[in-house]
Amino acid sequence: MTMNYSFKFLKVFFLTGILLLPGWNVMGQTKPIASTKTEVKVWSISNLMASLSSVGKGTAIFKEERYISFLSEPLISKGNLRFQSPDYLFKHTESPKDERLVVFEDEVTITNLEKGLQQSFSLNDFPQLRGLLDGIRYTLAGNIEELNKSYKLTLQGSQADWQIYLSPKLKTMQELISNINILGKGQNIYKLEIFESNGDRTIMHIEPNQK
Amino acid sequence: MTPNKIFLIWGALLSLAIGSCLFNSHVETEFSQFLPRSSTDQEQFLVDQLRQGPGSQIIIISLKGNDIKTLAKTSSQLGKFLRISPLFSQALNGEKLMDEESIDFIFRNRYLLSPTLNANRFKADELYKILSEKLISLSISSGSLEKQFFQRDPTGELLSILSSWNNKSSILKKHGVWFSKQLKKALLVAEISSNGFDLDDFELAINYVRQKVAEIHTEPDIIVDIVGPPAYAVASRASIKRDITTLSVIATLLVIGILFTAYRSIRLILLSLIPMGSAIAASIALVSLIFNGIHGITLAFGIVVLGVAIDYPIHLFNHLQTGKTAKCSMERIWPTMRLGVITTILGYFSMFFSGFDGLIQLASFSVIGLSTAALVTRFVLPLFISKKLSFPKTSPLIPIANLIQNQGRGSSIVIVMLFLSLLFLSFNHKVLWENDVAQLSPVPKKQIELDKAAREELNMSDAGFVVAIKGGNEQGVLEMTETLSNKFDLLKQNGEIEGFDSASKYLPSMKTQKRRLNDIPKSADIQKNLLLATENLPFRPDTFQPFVDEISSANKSQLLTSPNIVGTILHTRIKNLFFKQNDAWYSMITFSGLFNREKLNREIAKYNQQGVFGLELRKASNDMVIRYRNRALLLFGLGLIVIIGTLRIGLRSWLATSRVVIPLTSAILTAAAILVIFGIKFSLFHLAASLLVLGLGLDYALFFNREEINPSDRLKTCHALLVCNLSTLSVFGALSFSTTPVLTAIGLTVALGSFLSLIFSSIFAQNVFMKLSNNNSN
Repeated sequence: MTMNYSFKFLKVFFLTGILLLPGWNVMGQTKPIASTKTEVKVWSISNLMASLSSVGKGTAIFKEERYISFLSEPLISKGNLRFQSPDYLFKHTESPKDERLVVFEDEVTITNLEKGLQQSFSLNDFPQLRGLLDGIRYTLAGNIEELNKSYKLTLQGSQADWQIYLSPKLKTMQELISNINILGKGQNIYKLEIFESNGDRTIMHIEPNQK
Repeated sequence: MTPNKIFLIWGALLSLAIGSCLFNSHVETEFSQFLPRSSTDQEQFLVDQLRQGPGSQIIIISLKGNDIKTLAKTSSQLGKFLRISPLFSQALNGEKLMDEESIDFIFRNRYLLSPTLNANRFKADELYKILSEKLISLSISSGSLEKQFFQRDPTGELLSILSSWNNKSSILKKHGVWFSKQLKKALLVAEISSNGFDLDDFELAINYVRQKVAEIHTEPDIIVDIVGPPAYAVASRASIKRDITTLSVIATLLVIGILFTAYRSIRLILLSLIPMGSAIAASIALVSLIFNGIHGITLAFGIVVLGVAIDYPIHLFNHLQTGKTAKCSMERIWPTMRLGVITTILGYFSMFFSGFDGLIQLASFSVIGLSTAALVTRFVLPLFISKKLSFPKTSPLIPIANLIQNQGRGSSIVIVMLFLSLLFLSFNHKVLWENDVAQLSPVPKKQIELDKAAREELNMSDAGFVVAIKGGNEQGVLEMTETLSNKFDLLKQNGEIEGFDSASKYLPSMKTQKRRLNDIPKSADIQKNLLLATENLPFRPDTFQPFVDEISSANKSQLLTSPNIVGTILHTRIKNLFFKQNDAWYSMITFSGLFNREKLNREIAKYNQQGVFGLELRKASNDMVIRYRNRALLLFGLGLIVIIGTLRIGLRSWLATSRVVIPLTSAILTAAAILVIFGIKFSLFHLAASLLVLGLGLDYALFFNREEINPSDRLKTCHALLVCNLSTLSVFGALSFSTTPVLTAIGLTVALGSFLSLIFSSIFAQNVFMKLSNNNSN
């Protein structure tokens, strides 16, 4: 179903951070990378990005907690994720309701099998949503140049347990998102936090897919 | 009257006519005048629909020839341009179908518009059900869009409204815009804003689309296809223009060549233009005066008709005699010419009763022009001709003229052909006529198929069938629309209808709006119900305060009616479905996809007494064509009787009359039979063309049957007729090469018909003449 989305709508959409998904590490990729072995010396954003970009793809399962101001407890959803560098994201929510969300290049498609509905729209028309998704996609792909364009990056922790904080540079983005935090261990991302400017937040726990 | 006075009067009238052509006439392009005036409600409705109904101003634009991304980007930018252009009232390509202002408007009026609003909606158990579902929606991606409005509209009335509106569900989308199923073409649908079917508006809008695509994507590799009624109308006008220009140059050269071959005199050629030129100027001036403007079709077709006026001076030239004044020669042939002109004009008179404003205008044009040409030939032209001029004996056409003069035997052939054709035509009477309006349209078949394919991709109804509701007042018609829509919803749930669109979806009747407001409980009750409903749900207190505040003030909303929604999204949505026309309100329900006609008809039949009727647009317009054609045939027949009567008066004998009428009838019927053999089906255009043949043929037959003074006079007549016919053949022969079916039909019919008229009249007249002289000598 093509809904008649207004811009505002989408704004919301994006706000909630729903789309969000990303990163987790690559499962199955146990082979250590040559560079990480040799240069353990300084832990920097470029090291992290290089390390992430060497992964390129992965699948994971997630559990998402959504904290909304008017709710006294978080909304929980579960499902699995897939990423393929540089810009393919797939978020399959299995509970409480089946929903598939695909972000590929500049296009978003949401499928609700239960109702047999599919809607798709272009990120070109929703620059803020694009900003959010790009923050996540570029982190997963380790594309530091693109990230720097829209976000101020701060890295904390060690290679074994790191946290990178993305804060939007553009005012339009700031109106909606105050921060995106991505937490990882080595090449594995285990947590994604999106803080909305209105106080709502989404926390996604990610672990490698066991299948 | 002295020659000087005649000159003066003619000169004054001509300058007046030319002046008024230059300053007082404007050419109309609005098409509706050439649609018949209607006698019944359904017909009136149909004519209006053809003119400005849903679809008549809609174009489908497809972009192809590049990769998907580029096409999508181009479509998206083009959509933006079209949406802000005053040339278009709507432009859809799958993205952002509604602006923020429209969403705000709907949101403000949600309690008037929501189809899910009823007395149960705000009861505690229903609220519990809705809110539990909303919690699930809020936790997944797509539900996030509901978060922003949730506290003001927790029951999701806004979404109910938007989903009930949406009926273009299965169009494929890529990069946010509509694509064809094979992803080859990006598709846009745009509605041109025009009052009526105005070709100039259409042309502007279509050119704007092409120009914008060229600006957006500067390389010429994107191919823009535009289909839809406005596109065809503009394209066929352009091709008619092109055809007329090329063909008229060719025809003019041919005619000049023939005249020069025959007369070897530039002076005569120029003189032959005087009656025709005066006729055209007079016709344009008077028609513009009478009808307040002249239609482009009248002008084009009328000038073709007046081309025949060149015959009058040709007769005069041929009968010039050295040493006698042209006036004297003119007076000799005038009785014959006069009878020819009068009977021809009588033929055009039948058009006055045709019921088409356009044809009436055309008839006036022809009648004014032909009489002007005849009068100018009679009184003015001789003044230009000196005594020295005469018919040159050197014309290389004389041997041929001799040939038609000397046709001795064979009058039986004409009669045999008459009966054979009559037999053949009545035997084939079932396949004679083109009853399918679509086949009559000047649109090439390929275009029609493109259009059909594009409509299928977009899931648009092809306007083949509509249910219409007519009534005296707005609310009554809206209520009836609601009643029917509810019935159709049931049919839809049972799978009998795939989809339909009706005004009540967008603008509920006041009765329904009031009912919805009445269904809203008192604010205290809502609060109580909310408390009960959310007992076990994780909402914080006060979550729903904005909702309670807004819904409590909903009953102060002003009810929506067609005057107060002007300029809003609602108006855009309904203007083609619900409108006032000649003091009556009309509402239309259109269908998309497959539907069970039998079930639909049964539902409609129940409401026949209340102004509801089903309209099969195609069948109805076909029926209308048949009816108008039958009427035209009848008028044609009556005209023929009047003409025969007039001939009897003019020729003073039934025998002489039959010498004129029999070959002419035989020629027209034989021409018809030949066209049928070549697989051509007849339409109103052929009928109009045969009027022309009738006029030409009358002239031929009358001159062939003239009592001549001597054999050389006879040869002159034959030579004149030969030249007349050759020039007619050049003009209409050229026309039959047109790419426009209408022009081809006219060209072929006239060329063939006039040629046969000449031959048959010659055979028949001569034969009878010889028999008579034989009898006399015995």
